[in-house]
Amino acid sequence: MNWLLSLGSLAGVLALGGVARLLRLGGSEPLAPEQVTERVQFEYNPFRVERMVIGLDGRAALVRATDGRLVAVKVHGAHPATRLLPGAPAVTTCGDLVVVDTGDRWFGPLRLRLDQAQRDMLRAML
Amino acid sequence: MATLPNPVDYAVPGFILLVLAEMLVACAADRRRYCPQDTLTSLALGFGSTIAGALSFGLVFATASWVWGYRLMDVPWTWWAFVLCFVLDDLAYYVFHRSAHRVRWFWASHVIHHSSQHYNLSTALRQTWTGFFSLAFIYRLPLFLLGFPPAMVFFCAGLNLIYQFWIHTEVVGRCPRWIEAVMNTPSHHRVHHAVNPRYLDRNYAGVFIVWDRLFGTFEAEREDDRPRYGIVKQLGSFNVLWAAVHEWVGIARDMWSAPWNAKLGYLIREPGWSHDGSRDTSQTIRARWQNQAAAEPSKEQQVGADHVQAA
Ligand SMILES: [Zn+2]
Ligand SMILES: [Zn+2]
Repeated sequence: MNWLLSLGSLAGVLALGGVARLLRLGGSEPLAPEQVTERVQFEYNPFRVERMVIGLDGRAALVRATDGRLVAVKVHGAHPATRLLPGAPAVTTCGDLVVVDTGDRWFGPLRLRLDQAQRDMLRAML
Repeated sequence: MATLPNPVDYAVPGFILLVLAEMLVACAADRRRYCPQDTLTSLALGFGSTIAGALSFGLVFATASWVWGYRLMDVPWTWWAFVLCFVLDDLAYYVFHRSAHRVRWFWASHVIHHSSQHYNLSTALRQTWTGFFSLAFIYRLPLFLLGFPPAMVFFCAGLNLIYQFWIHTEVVGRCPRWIEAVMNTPSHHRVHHAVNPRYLDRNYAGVFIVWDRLFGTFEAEREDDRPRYGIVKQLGSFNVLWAAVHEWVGIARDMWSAPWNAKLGYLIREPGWSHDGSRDTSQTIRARWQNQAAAEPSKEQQVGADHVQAA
């Protein structure tokens, strides 16, 4: 592989990234309860959903199974991604933003925008 | 010793044009087939992989030439030797690829290719940075011992890689029957990239799907079980470096905290293996799914004649 080809490939990479943006590819619908249920049931089978809260912006959700397991769901590009949370996750609240530590720095913390009723429900879930 | 160009170098412009064409199709058919961040991560991994490959190629070629020095016979530099070399190299790829899914050491390098939740032509370029480190090249050594010249083998390996590019797409449904019977196709390889219990650890083929049919690892794609792509524990990150090394970090962490008699298991057992059985492997996921399907007659039909593969 020569340097010209390397530079050409790099230019191609950046150009394709730019085209994907220009064409407005990707994007995702806000999370819906059915979609979140289906996702956690697939990835954590068997998983019986006890209750869930979905952020007001539809970008994140927290789900609790009847056996007590807690799963964080976030919109990741065009697909949701999930993490099984450690026993008692650290939670910080700042106004309507509730941040749940997932214990995975690369997945990042779960950022939920919640109204008062949802925040109360979340507290009951943890 | 004769030398040949790397065919992959010449294919790069074709790769770029085809990704562009598939993006245009996605724009018209389904925008969610591509995601800009995912595409950039895949392409950056592909670019890094070519750099890593170029840096290590001298050592790999020197090793190959050294082994070739002990060859059992002299394979002539003729067209039929190239054909034979291509077929045997594809068999070596099958063996490598199967172990890359069944031995965590090799999986740590190969997982990069599976770490996208998308399945498009850019996914094909999501290639490892740590292939040399993982010693993946040892699977080709028998070819040199047989007598195939290193230049011939690496040329065939390049063609093999180029073939595998076009099968990473959802744009092509099924190919004509005889092609699906013999060749690896988009349909067969979608199964390979899927995390559905039915599809886990299936269709390891590079070019010829006959190896999977022969060695019992073939699974056909089904309309009623649409593939969901990625890995069992999705990355949830577009960070290029993390995608490249996350499983190596996982191995190091597991080995560090495991009891002495279990440390090696985290290196050489299948991905998901744990000394206390607390994690899922592809077998436990599939077995659970089959048990559930057996308990629910409505799902029984879907499971059909599926079987748990003995690893
Ligand atoms: Zn694979
Ligand atoms: Zn692939």
